[in-house]
Amino acid sequence: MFSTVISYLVSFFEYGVFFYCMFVLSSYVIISLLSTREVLKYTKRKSILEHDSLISSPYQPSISIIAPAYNESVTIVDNIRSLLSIHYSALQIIIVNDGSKDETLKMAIDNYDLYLTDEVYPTTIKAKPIRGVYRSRKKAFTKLIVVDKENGGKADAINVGTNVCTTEYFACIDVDCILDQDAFLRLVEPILKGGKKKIGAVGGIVWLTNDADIKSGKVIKIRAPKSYIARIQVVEYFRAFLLGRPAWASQNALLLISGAFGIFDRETVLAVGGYNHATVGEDMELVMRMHKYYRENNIDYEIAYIPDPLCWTEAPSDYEVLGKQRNRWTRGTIECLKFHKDMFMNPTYGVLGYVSYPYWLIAEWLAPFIEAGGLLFFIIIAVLGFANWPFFFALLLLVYTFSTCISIYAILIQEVTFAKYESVSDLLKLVKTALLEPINYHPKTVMWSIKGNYDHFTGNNKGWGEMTRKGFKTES
Amino acid sequence: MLFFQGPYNKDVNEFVAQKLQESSTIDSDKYLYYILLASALFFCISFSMTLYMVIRRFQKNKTKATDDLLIEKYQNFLSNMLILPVDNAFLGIKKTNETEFRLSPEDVTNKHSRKILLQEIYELKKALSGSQESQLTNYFFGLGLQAEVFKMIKSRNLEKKMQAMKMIHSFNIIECQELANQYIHSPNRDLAILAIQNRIKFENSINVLYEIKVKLNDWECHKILFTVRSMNIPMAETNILIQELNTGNINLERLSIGFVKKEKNLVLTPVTIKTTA
Repeated sequence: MFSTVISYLVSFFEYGVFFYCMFVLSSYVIISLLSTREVLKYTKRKSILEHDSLISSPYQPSISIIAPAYNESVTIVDNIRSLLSIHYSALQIIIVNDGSKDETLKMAIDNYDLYLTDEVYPTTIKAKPIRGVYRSRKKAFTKLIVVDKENGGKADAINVGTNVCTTEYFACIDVDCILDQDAFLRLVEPILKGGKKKIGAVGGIVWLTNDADIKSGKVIKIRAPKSYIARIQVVEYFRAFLLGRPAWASQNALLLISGAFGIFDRETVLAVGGYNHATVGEDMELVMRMHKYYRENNIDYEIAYIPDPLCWTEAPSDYEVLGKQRNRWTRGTIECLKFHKDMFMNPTYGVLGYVSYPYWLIAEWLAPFIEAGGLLFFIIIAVLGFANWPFFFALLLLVYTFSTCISIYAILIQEVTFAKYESVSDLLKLVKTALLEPINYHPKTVMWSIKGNYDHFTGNNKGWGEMTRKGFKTES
Repeated sequence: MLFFQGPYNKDVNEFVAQKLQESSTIDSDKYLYYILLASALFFCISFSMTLYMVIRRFQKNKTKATDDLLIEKYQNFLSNMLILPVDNAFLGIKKTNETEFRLSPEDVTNKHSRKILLQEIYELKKALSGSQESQLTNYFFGLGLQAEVFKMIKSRNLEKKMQAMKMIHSFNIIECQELANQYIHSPNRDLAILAIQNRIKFENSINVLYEIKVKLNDWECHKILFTVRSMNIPMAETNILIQELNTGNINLERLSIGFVKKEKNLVLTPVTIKTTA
């Protein structure tokens, strides 16, 4: 019996891991090539589209920016000012004060001359009660609405904002993000070009600004971050946003629009019940639910993606915070996959059911287990003295050269499209990071993912975890 | 490392020993060679990409420095030309001992400099109106820059072609109009819309819209309306279009009915209007 088990185990690792590696490597190649096509196509178009003319156009779809605020009395005034300066006419700005314990609301009232209105909004999506809706007496701030509500978390705050907003689309952004001033003018392009097709949501590239020069809320110059951890994340973001999402979006199989920045069709979000409080991956979960809603109701739709850096944020710059973030991402992924397990190989959901969902399941969720399992198996074999060292090193070399090749390719695509890093030394630093990443960083991500799985299945850690950031370096 | 499953025998030790033997024969065969070959290939690709990036960035930074100087020079020159009184100097080209803001003959003869100058004139023109705009347009034609635009529109590069279309539209270059008109039915929708915008401006009429056989999306409608709004098209003729587009009610259906018919005196049938917030 024992021998049979051993035999099957050996067979599993021989064939299973080998074919898994082949699957992952080939899918990376296919996804990268598809993404390259999309990114190059977009950058070619971008130079001639002249989005500026849209400012005066009656064709602009109306958009609300929903910004949840919790205990942000220090930054709330500047954040609102920054949002008011965005280039878009049909814009509504909804600040949702999520039961802050500090003077967030008072600061907003004092600085923007707000008064309490008697407006009542339907609670289409269930959420914590609204305590008051404020508007400004000043004509310059007519776009601004401040909603004061009981504390219920980020997802609840966005749900309240969705109930309150009256526009066709809404955008939810993290308050610590810097938006490109033309972000919405670019983001609405798929909506305008969509014709009869329903554009459910549009996402864009989120870029990292660690050590960048920022002036008056605008990113002036980008540099490769001095911190190695931040630099690794730059390379990771290149891979995800330039070599991953464009390909999925081109097949209308994008399962994730970053919570930091994206616009959503309000009507659909109301129809599917808004953000789900029960997951830390609420952005992915909402997109999955929207996909399901459209496909189950046979609606011609698209979840679009603009491969353009429109939103800037700061990456965590120490391993502890980064580990918490990755732990949360892992838990969010598991929760989303569990909530929507009926999608797996289900013909109703087409490419989502046959390709996108299985890919997330196999290449995202299971990957750390297979990697760690493979390593463990090899250690046992090595300890027993059965290891074939030439093959081991050859395979290690293959995996290493392939992964660095993909990372350097992502840096290259960035260079030939957006070319945000102006100095040669910045590029070389990024290449150096790509060379080191598989050795001293990737094992940590595997560990964080496994910890995330452990936390999920034991119910050990259910929250978001605290995120601390160093803050943007700004020039006056 | 063990790779291939052999026939399983009763004893696990025997089995492992057999696997070990199999593995030991593998390392010298072609599989190891293929793995190393693939690794070498990935390494070479990575190295080539890095080298390409570095060389490209060096060149770009090098040309950027000189281009920035040229751009600054041209911007100074063009703004001075429009502000200061016109003198007798032909086309602002510098003669000896003249002020700094004059152009050198090389600026208007060198291919690269001409391209930059063309781009700067085009960019500046977008911000101008009235006599200054006419003055700049005259200067553009005086330098014969329409020849550059003609080359651009004939180029196979789509980006250049589109840029040329916008310049034709901006400067109303009659010489290129016929060529530009050919793209009205181009499968590339962005190019087709630019061609339509050009034709509307050139003919000062929206008649070209009745030749279009495809449905226009909101983006394209916006572009058409943007062109029509910026022109002096007779009100009677534009009323149909303006009513359709300018109400803030996006109505592709009604618009597309107009586009598929070729009759000029078109009567549009009302349909349900999709309202916007």
